[in-house]
Amino acid sequence: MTMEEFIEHISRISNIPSESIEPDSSFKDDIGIDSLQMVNLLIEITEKTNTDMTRIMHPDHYSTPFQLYRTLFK
Amino acid sequence: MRITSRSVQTIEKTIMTARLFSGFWDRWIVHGLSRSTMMEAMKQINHLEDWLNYFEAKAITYNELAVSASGSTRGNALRNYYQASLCYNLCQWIFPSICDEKKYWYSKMSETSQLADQLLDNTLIYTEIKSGNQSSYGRIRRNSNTSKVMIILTPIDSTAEELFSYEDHFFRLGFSTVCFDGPGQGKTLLNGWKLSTGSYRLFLDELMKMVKSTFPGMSVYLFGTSSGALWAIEAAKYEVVKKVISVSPSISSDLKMPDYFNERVNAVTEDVKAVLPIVDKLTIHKPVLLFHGAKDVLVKQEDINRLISRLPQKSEWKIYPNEGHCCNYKLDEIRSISAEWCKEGVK
Repeated sequence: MTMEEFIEHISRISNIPSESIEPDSSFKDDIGIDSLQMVNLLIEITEKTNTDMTRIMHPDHYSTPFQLYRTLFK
Repeated sequence: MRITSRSVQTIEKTIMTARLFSGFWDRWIVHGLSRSTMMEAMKQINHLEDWLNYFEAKAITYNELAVSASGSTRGNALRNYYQASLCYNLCQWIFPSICDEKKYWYSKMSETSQLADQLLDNTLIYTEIKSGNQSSYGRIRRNSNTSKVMIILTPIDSTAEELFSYEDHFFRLGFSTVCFDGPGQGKTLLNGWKLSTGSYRLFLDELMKMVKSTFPGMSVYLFGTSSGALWAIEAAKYEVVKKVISVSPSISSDLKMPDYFNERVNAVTEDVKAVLPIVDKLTIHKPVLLFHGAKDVLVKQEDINRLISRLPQKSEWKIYPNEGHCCNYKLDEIRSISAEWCKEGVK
């Protein structure tokens, strides 16, 4: 999966236009996702991309779309 | 009854949330879990086995501390037994639906909680109330120095034992207390009674009859948080109830709950579309003291504003700017304000 496709997934799950989501945007401060939305985003993104949620061990792993992508696909 | 694969998935999601979001632990911290335990748990727990091993080991340690304190300091013994009970509660809670393991850990929690209850000067009795062919189970703590009774309506997904700190505080504030596992909760769920609006209303009918006959002529108040807060508003219709305290009532029709939580609720309900009353359809019969956290991400401010506009005379409300759902870190203050309001209204 490419970074662009990954951002499309995030966009669909969070109802935020993909144009507003940069790889290095902070989920919290730039994209405006609160902790509850983040829980649901992480669960859905791991389901939709068939990746292992136990790879996400630390808040740094989901600070930005790029960090999350790297954590799930590295 | 064995654990289902759906439950396993829900547990994985729950543990992921627990590992990553400190806010997950707020409700347990409010009930006495220490922050150091939370931090340690967030680092050490990755899977169900880790969860059970971690909290069982904690429970055993607290039990040993309680036993060693019981000969000398009763307060320490009580505190440690309740900490142990809370840790066993976490072990049973992690299983979203009824299974043998949930029953096993529930019984450990219940045994430990009873050891603590034995230190309460014979003020506590365990009670069962019948509603048709179903039963609900709860705790009554009699305060002989008072004519005031506080019924605590617990939120979905909790047990009566979990809310011991509420019960104990209201007792110290001069109330007798009544706290039950309703349909879908604790022992009542384990005995097969699931949650629906219909089953909860049946439960409330019998609960109010029991309170009226157990505490004749006394002033009865309701205290609820989250879903319990919404049911408390509906239950103001019972003649026996004098006033209602409602903390963060779950009134938004499109409540955005964490995914794992929705799955947990599905596991304890008869009909997932009908688990809560619709507040806009309720006539609110008694004065309500309403608390809400402005940072609540589950309940919308505009819904709270609409509710406030419909509250009857003599109602009061307080919005905490820095609190989230359930105003977890103001609950001591909220219970104290509530006790005063029950006497004379908010100052």
